[in-house]
Amino acid sequence: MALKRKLAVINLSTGEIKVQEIPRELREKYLGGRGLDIYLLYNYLKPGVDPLGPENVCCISAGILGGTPASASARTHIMGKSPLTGYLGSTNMGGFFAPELRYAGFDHLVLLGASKKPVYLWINNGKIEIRDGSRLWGLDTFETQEAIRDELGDPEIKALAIGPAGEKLVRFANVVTGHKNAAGRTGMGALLGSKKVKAVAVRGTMGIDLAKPEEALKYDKEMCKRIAGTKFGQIMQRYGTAFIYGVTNSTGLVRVNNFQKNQLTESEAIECENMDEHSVGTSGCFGCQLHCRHRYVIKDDRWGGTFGEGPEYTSQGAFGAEVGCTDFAAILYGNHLVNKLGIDTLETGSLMGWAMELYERGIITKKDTGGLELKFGDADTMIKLVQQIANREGIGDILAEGYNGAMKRLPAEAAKYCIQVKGMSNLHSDERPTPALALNIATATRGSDHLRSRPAIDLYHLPEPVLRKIYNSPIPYDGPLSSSYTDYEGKPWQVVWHEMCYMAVDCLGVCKFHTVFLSPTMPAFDEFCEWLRLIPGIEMTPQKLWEVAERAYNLERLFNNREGATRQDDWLVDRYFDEPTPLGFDEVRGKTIDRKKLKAMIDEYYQFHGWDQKGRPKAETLKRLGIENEPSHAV
Amino acid sequence: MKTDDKSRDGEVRCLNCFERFRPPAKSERTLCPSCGVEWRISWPFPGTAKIRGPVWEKYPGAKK
Repeated sequence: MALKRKLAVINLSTGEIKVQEIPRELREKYLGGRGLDIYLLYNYLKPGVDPLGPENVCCISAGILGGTPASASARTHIMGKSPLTGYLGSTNMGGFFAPELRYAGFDHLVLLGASKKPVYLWINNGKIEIRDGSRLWGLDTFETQEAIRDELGDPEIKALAIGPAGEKLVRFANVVTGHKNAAGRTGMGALLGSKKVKAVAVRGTMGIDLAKPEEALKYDKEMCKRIAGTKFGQIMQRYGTAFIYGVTNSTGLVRVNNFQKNQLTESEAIECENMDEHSVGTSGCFGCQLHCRHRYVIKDDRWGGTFGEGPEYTSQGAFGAEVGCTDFAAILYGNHLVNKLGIDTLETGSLMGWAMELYERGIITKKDTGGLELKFGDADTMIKLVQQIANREGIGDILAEGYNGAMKRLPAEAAKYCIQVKGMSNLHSDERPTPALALNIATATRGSDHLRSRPAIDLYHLPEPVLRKIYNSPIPYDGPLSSSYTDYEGKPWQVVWHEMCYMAVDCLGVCKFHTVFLSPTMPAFDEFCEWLRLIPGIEMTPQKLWEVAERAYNLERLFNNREGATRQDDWLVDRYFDEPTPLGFDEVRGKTIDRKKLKAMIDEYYQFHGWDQKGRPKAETLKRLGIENEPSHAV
Repeated sequence: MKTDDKSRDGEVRCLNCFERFRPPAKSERTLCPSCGVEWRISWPFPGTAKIRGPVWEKYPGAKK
């Protein structure tokens, strides 16, 4: 059965490995992936530990549908205490690792302690081995995966790896599988680096029995047709997420030159259509019919012949809008570099934009940058900065600390200019005209984030009856809903709804592009429940699935509270309130977020969650969700 | 909710006023008939139009 996948607790300090069944009760309460990971983290981690010390815990998992016919059930989730923020570290990636992990017999790995020397984990058909990784230390993420396949003599091995940045404890180091799939946010690559774990390699041939195989395949066929048939699906197959730039930049919702403008005018050169010159085709993750990532070979005098995959919309912003660069080849090369060296593209772009603005304002000078002129729009400087950050050289060593750490070494006035929440930088989106999206980044459990609660379809001006149909299920909602993305009313419920929807897909291990993230017609709770019935054989109503998501979300909140987060952490930097947007359509120009209205939205958001005014889950909420006695140490 | 509606093939939705309209086949530029914003158009697939971006020099309230 799909549920017969195990949990392995691996102590890297002692070499002890304990393999356990996952109790059915825990499955029904948390399913898998991010949901069960937060249970494990909350139970195994002691509060207040150093995120880069051996006491930190790293959870690696597949979703409960991983590697099955459920659409795009490819996601790998990694969780721990974040070296970047000191709060929840949580990140997620596609590719082929999680399905292979399941075929090798495991759903969840918990890494405890730290090895004294570099190691990698080798997991093969129910067996786990801690192997010497000395030979891999110093290699980039691509080389590491290849070296492991060579060493073990199996080209079908799937591996996740850290690069030099993870080894050097860059606080936003990522974890990469393949050439492009990156678990980027919150520094889980640094966490693995601190444990001296260079990689985890998996290979398995253990089949997964489906509860209702014929029905599951039939249902999957219907879902494939539905998902690929939408206009969103078609455009994703052609351009990937880079298509979003045309919409957001045209409107004036893109953060440019750090936060000084909200539109990169005359930026045709970095629009997605330019991929046609460099692309050699598209590919997809396990079980996905969309194939949204380009495989490219850069055609350019400087970086010609470099192979990469992507770029996502995020890299268009990181190496384009945020640093004011309209050099498309530089974006492709920057995208390649962050994946190869192992750093988060979003954090890197944001911090580079921040540093450039600090330099422009004279807050840092050539003396601080080792002679580098940090000018917006300068592609060569940008590429140099990426390398310096990943290798902790020059000014890169300061930026490698992330916002919290960098502020210990920069002038105090620098703080004002960094666009971050809870110490994590933002996507290159400008939320000043969009209160729903502003609330989303202010409150997301892992910091300023677009993948944990963003009601992205709020930008689509959907008619109220359509909004009502989406947001009135599975939990009835008869409050206000507005088609206008500049409104404040009704938005808190939308943020809560998307929090639960995204938590649900993260428990299932399904890609967010296959749910109501960028398209209102994608599957949601009803379809997820059908998958659960047909694949692992879990009968669950959509309301019950919502409750699973709510339970896991509340545990994430408890985790952050336990690490010291308060209501003050659910807030935006002053620029959102004080500097009006200078560009864009009439609808978005001259906009700021209203402090009082944001506060009222947060109050309402807390009420929907059953949290008190300080943002702490109330006792009755914890009891309703059955988590009043956590940590319960059930495994 | 409809997911297989073919009647909108070839249409785009103006990012300024949100009205749907059908650009002339293979056109590279077109005006929104409702609000008059001029758009650059791309054609990811034959018969499928996509707004690529605005014609910047005619962008409403354009300022660099």
